[in-house]
Order: sequence, then structure tokens, then C-alpha cells
Amino acid sequence: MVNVLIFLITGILIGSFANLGEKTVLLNSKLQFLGLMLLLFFMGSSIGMNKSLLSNLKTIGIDSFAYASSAAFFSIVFVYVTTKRFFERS
Amino acid sequence: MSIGIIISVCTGILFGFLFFPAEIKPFIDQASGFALYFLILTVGIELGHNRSVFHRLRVLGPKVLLIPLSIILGSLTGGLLTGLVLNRPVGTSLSIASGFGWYSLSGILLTRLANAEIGAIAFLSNVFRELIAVLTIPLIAKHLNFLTSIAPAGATSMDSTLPIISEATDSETALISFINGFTLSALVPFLVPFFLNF
Repeated sequence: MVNVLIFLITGILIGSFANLGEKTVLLNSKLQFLGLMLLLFFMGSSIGMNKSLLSNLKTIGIDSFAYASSAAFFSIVFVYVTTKRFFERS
Repeated sequence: MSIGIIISVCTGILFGFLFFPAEIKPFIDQASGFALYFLILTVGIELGHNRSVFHRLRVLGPKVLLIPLSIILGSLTGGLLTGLVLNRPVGTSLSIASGFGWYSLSGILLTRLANAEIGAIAFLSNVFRELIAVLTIPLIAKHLNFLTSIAPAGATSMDSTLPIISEATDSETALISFINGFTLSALVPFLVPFFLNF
């Protein structure tokens, strides 16, 4: 958590003081996309390599999925209502 | 973007399951750590480049905290209803839902405080939540609105899903996403044990 903060602040400092051209910013966003695909690949591999997680899937998979999807679903509904009520820009 | 995400996660799962030996797990963890830090750096550069973001955030002020608050209430509602359907104790269900996607911590906490089964459910359900977030963020950003795309991500909106939110939305949403993830992550270690005794 501390590391994430350090990298974010370093990035913000580079972005605000380095006076980057549009080309560099475009390159930055392309690198971001590539890095993202790489991260998701690694995220998937660590799930695929976790054999105990996969064997647990049979017994607790449905319950776990129910908790995950309902928490995500109601978070989406609540945040959507909040944004409509408090954040809508005129 | 959604297709790229699905392909990356699925090939990752397939490679992890079929080809990668258990010995390279530390390498994978390290590699994904590097990838994450690199991404957070690029998100930061984008934020710094868009200075107006910070001004707009100042205009919004404490109102941004309504987002994590809504996610807390939404997650608890979901956890509670699922617990009722599955016939599991209210406290346990609320605890599992208070992981907000931070599977490693909520899994460890509940293994210690409750038992191995609850710990495993907390772990797995929060892994699922992260996966659901990864897949739905681009869709929500496109069809509902930018801020709502933070909702499924929960606590992960400050790290693992922040790059996806940043790609799918704008700098202002990315910054609010970070604040949201930070707030929720800070609350996980308190809420998980708190609800367990309900």
C-alpha cells in the first residue's frame, strides 16, 4: 500500500513538472495499456497456479460467487444512485 | 478493451494451470508487482499532466467520500442478502462482504478469527469480486457513468483495478478511484473483525 502511494506520487510529480509533450503522454497511455494486459495475465496465472483455490471451487465456489456478485451488484446500484443524486454535472 | 482484458486474464489462468510450475510462483508475484508499480507510475504521470484534476477534486471536496460510503452500504446489503439466502450467520456474511475485494487480507483475517472454511470463502469471494470488477469496469464506464465503474472494484480501486479504471474513464475518476480504494483498504482491517461478532 505504501509502495503504491510512492509510485503514484512519483508519477504525479513527473507529470506535473517534466513538461511532457503530447507525444510522450500518448506513449505513456499506450505503455499503460500494454502494462495492464501484462498485469492481468500475471493475475490470471496466479489464480491458475493456485491449485488449492481451484480444488476449493467445488465446495465453496457457488457460495463465494454469490457473495461476490451480490456485493458488486449492490455497490454498483448504490454508487449509481449516489452519482445521479449528488454528482450529476449541469 | 473488454476483449483484451478477458483474453489476458483467461490466457493467464490457462498458462498458470497448464504450464507454469509451482516453483515460479515467486517470480510471477514479483513480475506482477513490477507491472503494477509501473502502471501506477503511468497513472500518476497522467494525473500530474492533467493539473485541472486536482482543482476539480477540491471543488468536490468531502463529497467524494460518498462513493466509498455507497460501496460499503452496497457491499453489506449484498452480503446480508446472500447470507440470508445461503442460510449463513449475519455477522459472517457481513464480514465476508467487508473484504471489498481485498482477498489476501480478508482471507487471512477470517481464517484466524473464524475458521478455515470462512477464510476460504472470504478469499475466494474477494478474488471473484476482483475478477467481476476487471470484466465489468469498462462496460459500466461505457453504459452507466464513469464514477459508477469504481463500485465493483471496492478496495482494489487503489491498486490492481486502478489502471483499468484509468483506461476506461478519465483522470478525475482515476484520482477519485484511488481515494476510494485507499479509504476502503484502510477500513477492511477494522470492519472484518467488527462484523464477525454481530
